[in-house]
Amino acid sequence: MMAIQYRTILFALVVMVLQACSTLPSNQEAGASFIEEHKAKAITAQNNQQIAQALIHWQIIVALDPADNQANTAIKTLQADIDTQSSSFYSKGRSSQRAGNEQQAKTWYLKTLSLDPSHEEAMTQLKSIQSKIDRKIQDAKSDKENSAYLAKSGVNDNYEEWQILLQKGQYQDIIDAARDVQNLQSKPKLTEVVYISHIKLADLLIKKGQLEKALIELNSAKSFQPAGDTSLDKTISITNKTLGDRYYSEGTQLIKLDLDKAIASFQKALIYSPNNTQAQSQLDKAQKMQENLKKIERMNAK
Amino acid sequence: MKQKKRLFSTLSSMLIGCIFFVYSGDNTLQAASSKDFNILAKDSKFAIVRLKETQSYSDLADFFMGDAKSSWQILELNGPEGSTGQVVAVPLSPVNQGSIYTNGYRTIPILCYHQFTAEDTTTQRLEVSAKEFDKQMQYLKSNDFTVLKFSDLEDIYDGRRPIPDKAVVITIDDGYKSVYDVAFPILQKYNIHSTLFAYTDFMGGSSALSWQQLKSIRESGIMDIQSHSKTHASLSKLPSDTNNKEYNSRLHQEIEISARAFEKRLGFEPIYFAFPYGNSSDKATDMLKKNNYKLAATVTRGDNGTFVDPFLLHRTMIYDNHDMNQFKKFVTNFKAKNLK
Repeated sequence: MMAIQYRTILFALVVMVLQACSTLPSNQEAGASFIEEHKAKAITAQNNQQIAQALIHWQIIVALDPADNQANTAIKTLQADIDTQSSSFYSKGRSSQRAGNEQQAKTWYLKTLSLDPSHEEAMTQLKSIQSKIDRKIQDAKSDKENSAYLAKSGVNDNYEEWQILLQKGQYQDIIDAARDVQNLQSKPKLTEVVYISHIKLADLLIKKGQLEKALIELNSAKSFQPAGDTSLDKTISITNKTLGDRYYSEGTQLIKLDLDKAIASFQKALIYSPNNTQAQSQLDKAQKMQENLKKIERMNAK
Repeated sequence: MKQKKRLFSTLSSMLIGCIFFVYSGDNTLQAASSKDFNILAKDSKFAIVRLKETQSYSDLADFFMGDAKSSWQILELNGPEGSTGQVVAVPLSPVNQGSIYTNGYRTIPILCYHQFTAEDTTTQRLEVSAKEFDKQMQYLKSNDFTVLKFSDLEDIYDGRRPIPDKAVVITIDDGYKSVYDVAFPILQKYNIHSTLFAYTDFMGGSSALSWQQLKSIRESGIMDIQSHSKTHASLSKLPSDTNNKEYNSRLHQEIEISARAFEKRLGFEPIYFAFPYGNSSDKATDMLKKNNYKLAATVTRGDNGTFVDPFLLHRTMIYDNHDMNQFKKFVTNFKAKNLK
């Protein structure tokens, strides 16, 4: 009875062991099927232009069978393709970066890295661009919050704080803050900062060619002009003359094309340069011509 | 008869031993060695291994890559884990450390919470109800998100590890009491790791966590504690910092003195920092680096690709009015872009 039980257990154990061993293919068979599977994956990736992905599958095949000719040839070809393309993408990225187009440069570096994840230079440049973009966002946020802080905290008549804004080139913030300061004229240090802010803002506007806006700032600066400082008057005078000349020149160009616009330009020229006799003479001439034209129109109407 | 019994006994022992070897395969009892694996081939890039009974991708990742959590890289190369005898390619180093592909790149969404309430309705924008928080965490858990520790980001931004699919990081700012009462039990329930950025002057206050609570949270292993400054003042240069000396002294207070408080109260020096209001500056970053900080986060929304500045990490604030559709968008970790 006992012997039968042992035999049954023994038989069952042998069956289990044999079953466990017999279901597995040999290493060679499993390896061959593994290679076929990765070849299929490599070819699919290549067909989808995912050459970096394809390269990985070929490299896996070579890890198992270093003598696989198809894989070795594919690796050689793909590696050459990747080197050529990634080098071209990287160069384009550098050119875009040098031209100041950072977003475009970023895309080229991403393209480089999608092909060659180990391209250290592309990663370094990409990191540098991203860091610069994020730093700019941070700085803009800080500036905005500092302006709000100045307004909210009621410290907008603090000389040191205005000096900081002046150094940062935030002239408009100073001018805005100055509007809320009571008895500003009795605070010479503050009026000096406001004066400089108007002048600096006017300089920027002149550089941008926005002379009329610049003149508004210069004229505003006159309220804070330090005694004995004649440079502002000279600047106003020069800006007025430049603007007058600009409108005079515009009028002379328009006189044969559009009489109404020419008259408007000469009138503006005289606002900025009241002593411009040529502008006065051209304006008289244009107005006379316009008068004559109207007479002709009236006669034709009859 | 005796001979028969001896033969039977020997055979039985051999078979039982053999079966034990084949079916038990308990590798957790001792450190694995290369003999424990059926290595078919190996070169500088890959090991080609046949899975033995009870072996998993995690075992392979643990042995060959030094980190069981890297098993997702094996999965991406080989497809789903199969049965015994499956031949598997194990990358010996990351095959795409930049996580940049021809159709876009992976990023890490870092979520930023502040306060919680046990009530269903919230009283302020930065407060999230227990119900909503539970729904959000459940979504991450049931959709197989990889919730990384904040510390995992160090390796990723050093180029040592790529970004896994469905990666996300959970952070909580300030250190309100409700973190302990509401969020912590939910995170424990789903076994989700997070990092709390606390500012030291607030700790022990009436609506804040106590130092003892911070200690027990940290010891739970489910929530890391890191620095959110001393007073929660903005670290960008303020108009009140009339000169650089004054600004440096303020940064010293916020960065170095707060670190001393963590060291004194909790026995560790923080190495990760969350900028109050998300405001930083070059000077603040320099001081953090000088004080051995490894990463710092803002509250600027955006992608955290592998190329992001590790001291200007983007975070997405979660407000009380965000619904699940928005939440799902926030945790998307792939930025599609045609890079062919």
